[in-house]
Order: sequence, then structure tokens, then C-alpha cells
Amino acid sequence: MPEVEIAGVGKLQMLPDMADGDWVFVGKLTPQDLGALKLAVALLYQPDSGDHYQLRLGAKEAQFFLVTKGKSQPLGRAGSPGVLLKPGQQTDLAVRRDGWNLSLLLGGRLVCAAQDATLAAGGLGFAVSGAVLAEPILQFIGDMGFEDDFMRGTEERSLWQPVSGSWQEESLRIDPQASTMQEARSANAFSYLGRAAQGRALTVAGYWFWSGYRVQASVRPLGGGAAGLVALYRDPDNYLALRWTPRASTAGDGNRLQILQRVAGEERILAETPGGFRPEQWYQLALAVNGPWVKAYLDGELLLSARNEAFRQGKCGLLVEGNAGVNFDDVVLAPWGYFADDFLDGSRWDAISGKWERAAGRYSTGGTGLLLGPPIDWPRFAFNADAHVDKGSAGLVVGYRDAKNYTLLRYSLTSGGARLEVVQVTEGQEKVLASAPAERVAGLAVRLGLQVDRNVLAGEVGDTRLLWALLPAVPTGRLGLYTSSGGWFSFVESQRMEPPPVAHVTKEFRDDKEHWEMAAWATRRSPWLIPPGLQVEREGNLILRDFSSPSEFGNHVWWTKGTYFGDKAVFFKIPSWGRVSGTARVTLDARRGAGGEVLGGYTLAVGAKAGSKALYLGLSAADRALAETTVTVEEEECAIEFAHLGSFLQVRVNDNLVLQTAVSG
Amino acid sequence: MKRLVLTLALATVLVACLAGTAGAVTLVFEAEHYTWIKPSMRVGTGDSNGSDSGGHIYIPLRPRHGEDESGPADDGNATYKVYVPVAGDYTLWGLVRWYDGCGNSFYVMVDDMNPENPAYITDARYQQWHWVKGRTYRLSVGYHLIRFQYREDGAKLDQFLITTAEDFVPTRHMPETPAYLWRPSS
Repeated sequence: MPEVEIAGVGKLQMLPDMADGDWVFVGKLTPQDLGALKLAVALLYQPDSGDHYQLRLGAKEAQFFLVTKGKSQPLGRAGSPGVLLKPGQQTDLAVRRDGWNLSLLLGGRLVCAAQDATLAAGGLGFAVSGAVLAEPILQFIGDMGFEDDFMRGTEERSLWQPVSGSWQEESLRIDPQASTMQEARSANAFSYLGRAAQGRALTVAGYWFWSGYRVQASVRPLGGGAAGLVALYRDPDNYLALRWTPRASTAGDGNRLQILQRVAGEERILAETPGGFRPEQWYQLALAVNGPWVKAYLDGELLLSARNEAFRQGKCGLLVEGNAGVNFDDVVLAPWGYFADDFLDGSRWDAISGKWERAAGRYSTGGTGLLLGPPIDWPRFAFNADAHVDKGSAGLVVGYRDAKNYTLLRYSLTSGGARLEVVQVTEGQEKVLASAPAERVAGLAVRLGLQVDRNVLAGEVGDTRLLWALLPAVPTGRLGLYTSSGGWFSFVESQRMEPPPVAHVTKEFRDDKEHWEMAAWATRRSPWLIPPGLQVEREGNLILRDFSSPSEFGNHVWWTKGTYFGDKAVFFKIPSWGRVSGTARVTLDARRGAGGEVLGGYTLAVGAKAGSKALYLGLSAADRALAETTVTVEEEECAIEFAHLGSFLQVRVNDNLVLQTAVSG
Repeated sequence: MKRLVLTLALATVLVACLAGTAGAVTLVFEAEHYTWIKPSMRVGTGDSNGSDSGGHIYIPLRPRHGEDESGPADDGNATYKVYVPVAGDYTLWGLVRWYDGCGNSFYVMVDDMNPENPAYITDARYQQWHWVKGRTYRLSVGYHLIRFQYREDGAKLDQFLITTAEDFVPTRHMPETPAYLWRPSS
């Protein structure tokens, strides 16, 4: 390996890879002489300046440092490896970079952590004495996520790796009708059955370096015992679990939902709440982990929160106790970005202006002040905090790049009450993007909140959404807290939001030729009412007639069956992009006329011509043109998103925003 | 011959470097930089929503895709003659984009081009570039043939790699190691 000399450390062996984004540096560490053990790892090393982060690990202490211009500054808190290092015993060493977080794990256990966003990319290297560090590699974290409804053909490999107990895919519904059903025609033909003849049955999926995720599954316990989910799994003796026991159980741990932590084979309950399951009933469990935060959900409702100081990475899994077994279905794993601070335990906040004090769960200042927290690069997120001001204003900052560039949701006390504003600061110039009157809460803290959906920001006071604003771009940067004339903040929380799930139809019912009686509700055409001109009657049911070519389809209006409220978006693709001609219109928030015609609403007109990569897009409200554009779509696919968010219409083509306009409602 | 000599010389130098990386060897190849290609396997360029940096190989969609279960229409393939510098157990990974559940696999052959039960790579993620893990092969020092062959239409491959690092999981587009690929002189 190439070598770099660093003052105070000596020569470091450098990995050939450059690190950026989120990653894990791993190696196998075998101490030989604990008294002489010294490991220095240079992280994000800048070859021009020599600046870098440095991890220093000895037998008694480990800590991160920021080294700039040759000077070291400690970051975070020191930790002690304790019994995790033993002479002659190999242990996994992992140094993680997650956002602005740095963490050291030995044997999968957290030793020390720090937060800093000064350096974003650079080299990695290490120097070691008193030990051997073998097989160092740089593992990028990348996207994580999967879904499993256990409906797979014989050729597809299972995602799951059974650890203990018995696990099998069950191909028939478990109910009295099962004997009359055929798996090819069942809506829920497949599930995953786990059983534990003794102890606990576990099966896992994913990768060892996964972190910051939420795992969710439909769960149907078949008897006593327990059912649950696993996260941050390293091995059978080290993981987090959500464990649920039966309502009818009289055991000491019966009739309750628990978050438990298993460390080196010993278990500790981190949080629990009374209430157990009834057997033979389907439920939805979810377990979410990010950094030290753990949350558990039952049927979509948050029931448990806990802190985990042991683990930071690992696979997800399913858990069963008892021989009756548990069916699992519809397992979904998705990234879960989350940050919270009750200001009790010293997470990093940087005072950019003003003098801030942290005490008794509050961060307060006497005058104008700006306090910065973690950087966020999520396309959709919520951010809220409890704020208390007696005069002037308080606010939430997002997308902070520097003192002249950020977005502020500002709550100001006025003579007549209060006002909420979205203020965009660009190169030091303030511009109010949106403004609305707000309730003034005398003598009490007010809950300020915002939700960002790419470049649309919605502002809230309490639980009331008061305004929307179009931002110039997705607000990527640090979160912050602001006051103009003193005040305090408590309990800050930010969470990444995923787009709501799209309704899908089970594969079996797409073929309605044999089951035309299902066509009205269960095919991919089921969310839409078939236009009268395209219907034919078959044995008392109206279904879509057959077509021999697309040209026979004609010009008809298809209406959804449901009524949709609030923010909404429609996604569709133009098939055979570049080789078809025609126009299509999609309308949101419309009413259906007596003759099926479209009344009101907002319409996106899409036009394409065969042989051309030009796509016409036009927005209108009734007969009034709002905005239009023509874009060139060079890709093989043309995927369109038409969204109505708050008081804005947006059109995206292949995830690129191409058209947007403000509307009144 | 000259190209072969130069390639071997360079490979020898790089072996020294790679072997110094505490034993792990990872070789990365761009799919469009094949040694040989046979239709219906084709080279494609440009793709939305992916990590496709400059090209990929693919089997074009057939008419009535997914309706005909008779198997691949031909043995279209791309073959790569790669130089393995250090003997070991190499796990193969492919950076793929599947069309749907009927266009989500390639046959993979290593050295034996007529296996009785050819291996294949597959999973159930569609319409997005992602890495799929294949088998692990014991490879000696020297040249080996790796072939990706038509199994289902609509499947695409951007890169593939072979690695001795047991815990390594590729998650992004990787820098190519062209010195370990033999290509005929044009």
C-alpha cells in the first residue's frame, strides 16, 4: 500500500480507495501486547493540506479527533474498549461514517462516537503497533431496502438465512378455505412460517453493514410463544429485537410488547408496554433503528421508544418462540432517517451566533442566536421543535450552507397575535416566500414544525398546517434553531419521510380472462371505472372489451373509483417512448359530470410524437392555461409524476422537476 | 502478442500492489468492454435512473415478452477473458438492471462454457440498477473465461466483478481494472 507520513503518528498504510458519502472501514484486529497497543486510523485524509479525522485506539481509551493545519481537536467523547480487546484474540474493528456521525465498533459493540461535518471525502489509512490489523477494506453503504411477499417462483432464491429453528415458505392460505384454493389464484398465497421447537427461531436478511432502517412485517402468531422482529443482528448472541407475547399468557413476560437488547448472550429490556396478541390474527409490526434511537410500531402506531448504546449495524430478521409457529408476510425494509435531541445528553450543536446554554433539557439564549445541528440530505423530511419566546421571533432553519444561505421557518410575535413565515436567505438577502397568521400561545412553548417534500416546504404551528412555499431547491444542509430576542428550545426531532406506498394489485388477478368476475375490483384496471363506450356485458357484468390494436382505444375519460384528499401525485410512464404519437390528459381534484366529462380540477396535458424525444407538458385549470414547457427526454424511458402539493402543481420527468406553478387550492 | 506481453507485465506489477492490500483482490470489468460478443447480446448506451456510466450489454425485449415460456431464443452472450493474479475463491457480482420477473436473469459460465446445469444470477428487484451476488469460484493464477449469456430477454448488465474479500458487498459503480482484461487487437 502507498504510505503517508503524519506528524505524531508516523507512517500510515493508505487504502487505494477514496471514501465519500457513508461508508465503513473494517479490519480484523488482533492485539499482541495490550500495553503497547496503538492504532491510528486517518479518515478522509486530504493529501494537499494533510487535514483529516483521526481515530486513536489504545487498550484503555479510544477517541476521534479532527486534525486541521497539524493541530488536533478532540471530537465527541472518549470511550473504553474494556474487555473487547484481548491479547491473541481477533476482533472485528469497524469505523463508520453515517452522515456527520463517526463511530468505532469493536466486535460489533459501540466504543466511541463523534459528530462533525468538516470533511466529506478523502483517503483512508492506518498505522498499528502492538497488534495486527488484517484484511482492511472500505465498504460503501449505498442504498438499502427490500420487500418480500414470499411470492416467488421456484427459481428465485430466498433472501433469508435461517439461523435457528425451522423456516419454510408456505404456499397456501392458512384458513378453512385453504383446501378449496389454488395457489395460483390466491390473493395471499404465500407466507413464511417460523417455528421454534426449543429456544428461539431466528432468520435474517440484508448485510452486516446496514444501519438506519425500519423493518416491517405482517405477523400472524399461531399459538403461544412469541413473535417479533430483529434489527442490527450480528450473531445469535448480539442483536436488538421487538418481541411480542400472547395476551392470554400468564408468564412473567406475557401479554406485553418489548424492545430487548441481546449483548454477548445476555438480554436486557430497553422498553416495554402491556398488551399481547391474539393467536390466528394478522398484525403489522415494525422496528426502526437509527444511531441510538429505536422505535417500535404496532399496526402503524408508535408504541415504544428506546435508546440503544450497544449496536450500530447489522442485518434485520424475524423471530419466533414456540412450536405453534408464526406466519410472516409482506416484509419491507426501508431507510429510516431519524434524529432527536432532548438536550439532556450532549449531542453536538454549534452556536453560530449568540450565547447558548444547555440546562435542564433546554437550549436557551438571551438575544439573537443561531444554533446548528446535524446536516440533512433527505429529499423528504419533517423537522420540529418546541420553542418558547416572549418577544421577537423563533424559528427552524433548514438547508443551512453558510451564514448567507439557508431557509428559515420563522414564528414571530406581533401586536395582534403571531405570524408564521417562510424566509429564504440567499447570498445574505432575505425574501419572504410565504406568510400566514398564526395563533399566539401565551406563556407556553409552541410546537414549530415543517415538512419538506423535495422543494415544497409546509409550515405548521402545533398540529395545524398554515402555509406552503416553493423553495429554489431541495434544502440540503444543516438543521438549526433561531431566535431574534432570546428564548429557549426543547425536544428537537427530525425524521426522514418516505413517499406513501402505492396501491398495488396481486399478480394473480391481472389475468381476468378466466376470472372476469374479479375484473371489476381486482385487476390492474380495477381502480378505474371503465368508460361506457368501452364496456361489454358478460354474464351480467360489465367488463372492458377486447382490442386488437391500440388505435381502437379511442378518446375516453377514465375515472378513479376513489376520492383522494390532501397532497397527491400520479405516476405513469409513456410506453415505447420515442416510438409513439399522441396526447394524454391527467386531471387531479376534478368532478365528474353527468356524462362522465371532466369538470374543474387541474389538468396535465402530455404530448409526444413518434421519432422525436421531445415531450410537451401543459398545465391548466379548467380552460385556463397555467404553464407549459417542452422538454427533451433522451433516456429510454419516460416516467412522469404529476403532483398537487399544498398550493403548488409540479411535474417531474424521470425525477427531474420540469414544470411547476402556484395554484389557489 | 505484444499486447499480451504488455498486459502480463502490467498485471505482474499490479499483483504486487494488490497482494499488499492484506490479501483481498477485487477485479472490476465494464460489461461493454467484452472480449467477444455474440448476438442477440448487444451493447447499449444511456439509461435513466441508473449508474450506467457509459454502456452496458443487454438482451433486447422480444415480442410478447413474458408470454412465451419456451426459454431463450438463442445463446447470445458476452465473454470476457480475464487474468487472475492471485489464486483464491472469487465471488462474482453483477451490476444489473432487470426488466421484470420474466427478464431478470443471465446465465453465468466460468471456464466451462457447456455446463450441464448452468448457473445464473437473478433476484426480484426490477427497473433499477443494483448489484446481484453470484457464485463463488475457485480460480487459479492465469487466464479464465467468464461469460454472461441470454437466459431471459430484457436483462441488462453494466459491470461485473470478482473478489476474494468475503465480507465485501459492492453498492455503487466501481472503478474498472482494465489491466486484467484481455481484448483482441482491433
